[in-house]
Amino acid sequence: MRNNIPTAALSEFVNEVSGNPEEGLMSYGIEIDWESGTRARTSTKPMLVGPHKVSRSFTWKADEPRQLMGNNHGPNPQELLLSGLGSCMMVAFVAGATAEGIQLESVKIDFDGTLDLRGFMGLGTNATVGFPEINYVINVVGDGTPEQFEELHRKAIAHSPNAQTIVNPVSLTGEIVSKQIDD
Amino acid sequence: MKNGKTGFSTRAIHYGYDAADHQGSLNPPIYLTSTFTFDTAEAGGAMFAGEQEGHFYSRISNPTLEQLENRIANLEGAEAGVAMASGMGAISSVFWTFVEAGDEVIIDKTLYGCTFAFLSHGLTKFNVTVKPVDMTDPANLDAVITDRTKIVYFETPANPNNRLVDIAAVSQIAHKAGARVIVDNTYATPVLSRPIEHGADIVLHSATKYLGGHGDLVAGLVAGSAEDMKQVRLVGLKDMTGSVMSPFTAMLILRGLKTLELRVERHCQSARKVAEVLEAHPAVLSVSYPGLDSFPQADLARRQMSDFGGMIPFKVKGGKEGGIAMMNRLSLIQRAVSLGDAESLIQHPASMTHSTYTPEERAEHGIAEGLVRLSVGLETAGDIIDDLMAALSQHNAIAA
Amino acid sequence: MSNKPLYGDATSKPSTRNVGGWIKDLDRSRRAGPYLAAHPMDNMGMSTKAVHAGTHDDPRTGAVGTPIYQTSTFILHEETYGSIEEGFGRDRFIYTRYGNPSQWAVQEKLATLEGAESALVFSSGMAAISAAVLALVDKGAHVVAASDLYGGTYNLFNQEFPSLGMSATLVDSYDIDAIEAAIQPNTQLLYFETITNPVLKVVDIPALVDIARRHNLRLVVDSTFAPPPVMKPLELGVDLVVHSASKYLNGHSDLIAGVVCGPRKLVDMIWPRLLNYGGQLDPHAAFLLERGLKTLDIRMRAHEQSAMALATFLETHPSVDNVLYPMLPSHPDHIRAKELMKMGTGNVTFFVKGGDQAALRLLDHLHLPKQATSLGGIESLISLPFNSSQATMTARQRADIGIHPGCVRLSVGIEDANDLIADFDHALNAITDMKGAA
Repeated sequence: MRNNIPTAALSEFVNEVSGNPEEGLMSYGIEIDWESGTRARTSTKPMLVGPHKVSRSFTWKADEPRQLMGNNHGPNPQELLLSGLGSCMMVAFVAGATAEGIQLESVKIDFDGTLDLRGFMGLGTNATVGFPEINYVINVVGDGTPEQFEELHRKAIAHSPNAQTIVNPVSLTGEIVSKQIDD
Repeated sequence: MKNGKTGFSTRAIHYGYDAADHQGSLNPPIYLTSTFTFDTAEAGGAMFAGEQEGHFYSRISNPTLEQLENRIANLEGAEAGVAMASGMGAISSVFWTFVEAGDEVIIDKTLYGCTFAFLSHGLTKFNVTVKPVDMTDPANLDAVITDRTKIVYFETPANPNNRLVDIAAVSQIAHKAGARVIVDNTYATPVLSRPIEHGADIVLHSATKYLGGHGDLVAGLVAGSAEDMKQVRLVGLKDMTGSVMSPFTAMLILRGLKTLELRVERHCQSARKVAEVLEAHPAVLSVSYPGLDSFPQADLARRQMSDFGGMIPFKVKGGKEGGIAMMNRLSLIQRAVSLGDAESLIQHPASMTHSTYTPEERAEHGIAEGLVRLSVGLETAGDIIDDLMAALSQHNAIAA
Repeated sequence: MSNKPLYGDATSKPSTRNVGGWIKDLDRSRRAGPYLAAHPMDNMGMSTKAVHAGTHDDPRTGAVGTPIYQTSTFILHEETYGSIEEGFGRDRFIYTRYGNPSQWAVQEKLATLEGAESALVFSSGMAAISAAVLALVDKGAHVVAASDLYGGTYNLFNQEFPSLGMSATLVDSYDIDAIEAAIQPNTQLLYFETITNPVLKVVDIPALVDIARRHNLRLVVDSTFAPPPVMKPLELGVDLVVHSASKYLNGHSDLIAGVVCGPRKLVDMIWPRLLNYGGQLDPHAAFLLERGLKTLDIRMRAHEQSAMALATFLETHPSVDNVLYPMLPSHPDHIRAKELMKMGTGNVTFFVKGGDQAALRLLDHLHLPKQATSLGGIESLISLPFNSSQATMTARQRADIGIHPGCVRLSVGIEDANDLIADFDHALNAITDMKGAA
């Protein structure tokens, strides 16, 4: 077990998916329920790992700080977005290091992003609604050379599903099912 | 490390095993197999012809038995060993190997009952002359040995009375006459005495006793020169007795040997305390323990043994009836034959282990009718003593 | 004979180092095993497999049969260190809780008999079942299982699952529609027995396989009552087979053991549970199990022969109401039994006239069968569900699962059929006479 990832099992899985692509299809789902004010609770739905169902019984809450009309009961959606992005980059970085035989001592990714709420508020400016840019620094200690870590960084971003979802256009389709309450 | 070689327990635990031969397994595997495959038919033929080493059938040899054989040989300071199904299997296999009709065998007067029966009543049927002599004085051997004498055989300490035989002195006399010296070392174990170092040719054991040490198996072991052991294996074991040890038993003895030194040290410590307490007790007539100053051969004991064993023969007031009454009052010490187990055992030789002797023979051979034989176990010494004292306190009242 | 050092499965190697490579460059693929050596058995018959598969003639000594590796631990070596680092410790010997050559030999034999890539032996059937089930479920999972499961398995789902934050719905194993209807969004696993105890239902395994596939579920079956000569559930599409190996597989009623057989991928997921829950099989028991398996096929033939003869006899006896033996046309699942079972077994369940009191008297008059639970041993065993295996149920609950008064559970051994028939004839007549007298 290097970096607490079983290289042998990782290798076996990669080769399994190579021969049987269906095993590499992951289907995810979450449900978000509005609780109160800016607070909402997310629950994971069972996922599919290949054709096999896996129970995912996890919930968490998102909220906004009081300054943004919330109660500060949880991380806010922007922080969760960065968390989802960074955790995914982390998996890619650590798995890649393991595949190469690099022993990691510590990895820390520091994210910063600033957005202009005038976009959210609809105050007509040039500001984008979302993050115009996201900055991060990966602090890594391990037995790889600086060149290896540089290359690993490049590959981790190139293979991180969440990073690629953010840097590429993604089709977001949805619908609304509504029911009007009678007086 | 003692004298430039590894210590007894280190060898008892490690000698002769390389885990790399067996999947890294810390302990040798148990080869519970009857037979062995040959790479080719020619290789099989070569093994049968003795031209190629290897196992071919478990009556003749087996890898688990081989581990044990090499280990006991090492502990006894011998070149080789052979494992047998019982102590009697070992004794009879050795005798069948080295005697022929018309030969003469000289034995000590005090032997374990079945050994005595095999030699005096069994072997004599095949026109082998068996002469018992009192070997506690080697001069007695010198007086009767002839060039027809093939084997000089004795136990030291002897069962049941703990008499000792001077191995070096007897070996010198025997070798001058061209006879093999065979010693039953069951009582002393290689921890306390290694007869081959004193000049003996072959050592044998009832491994049922101290070597196994847990009262859960019956087995015999023989050790000696490589050539003698080859003969014992291919003649006595293979063709005459077939008295082969089970590989599972071999594994248990290998396991027992790992604690042999620890166990024997404890047996000796406790036995000395028990012997001293018994000797001081008014209901006890005599105690024959080599570690006591009163022991007639105390000097020889100190010369030949590093400690004095766990066996205590003693006589109580009231003769045979007195001894048996005392035995029946014991509660911790179990009434059973055999010896060398974790459990303390007591028995009455005249009616049990040495009932193969006639009363006249027992009188002649120094096995008193009232003698009881205690095998001091590994229990806390104080508890063994308490049990004996309780039995003897009532004994005192009766005797008075 | 080889003098090469031997360290576990020699065919198992780490991925080649790929400095600068990515995950796709890892070149170690999953394979069947772990095996001590290649013992190809693919086209051999059941008896040949039973005798030879996995049995490891030691290359160092030529000893016929697998030695008993009675050791707790193994000398570490570059090969073992490497396997730990790369995460394939299951293919090397480290410590007997992790794996031992005596376990591997019998595992390979069991895997071969079941047509599986891999197998793990456990210290009991329940150790195998709990490790297999808990390897295949995750936080919050739900399981659909049979309502007439063996009591120990029932307790796992009924007592342990809620404590672990999981749930199970237990459904009549005949009712395929109800089984499908019980599936919830968080259902991960279907768990059934191929032949149920004690009424010997032959469960429609192909229908369960179909449900599992359509709902992306894993299907685990306990095939204790149908060992490989009778049924090979993996060939029917089941994901994992578990057994109490204490029964037919060992066959001599002299040890407790369990086994899981299936694809290497799933068995590798169970292995860490074995390490964590600690239910590995002692090497000496592994040796005895391997020894017992060598006669599995011929024992099953003898069980079937005696059971069929005795069941046929019982069916004609006036003191017997009803006999359940899947190979008899009178069994409700006879047609399915003919499809799914290659042969019968020793299990016969019957109902004596006069209810449980008559059944008790019957047991008193029998000489050959021993009154004991368990089954699949060479000696016939007999017991009454109402006061043993299903004693905690009410009469109504028993009736719901087909255990009507007078129910006798019999595991026919390999004794001569004539002796068993004579014994039952005598005992049945004796209780009938007593009824007449009263």
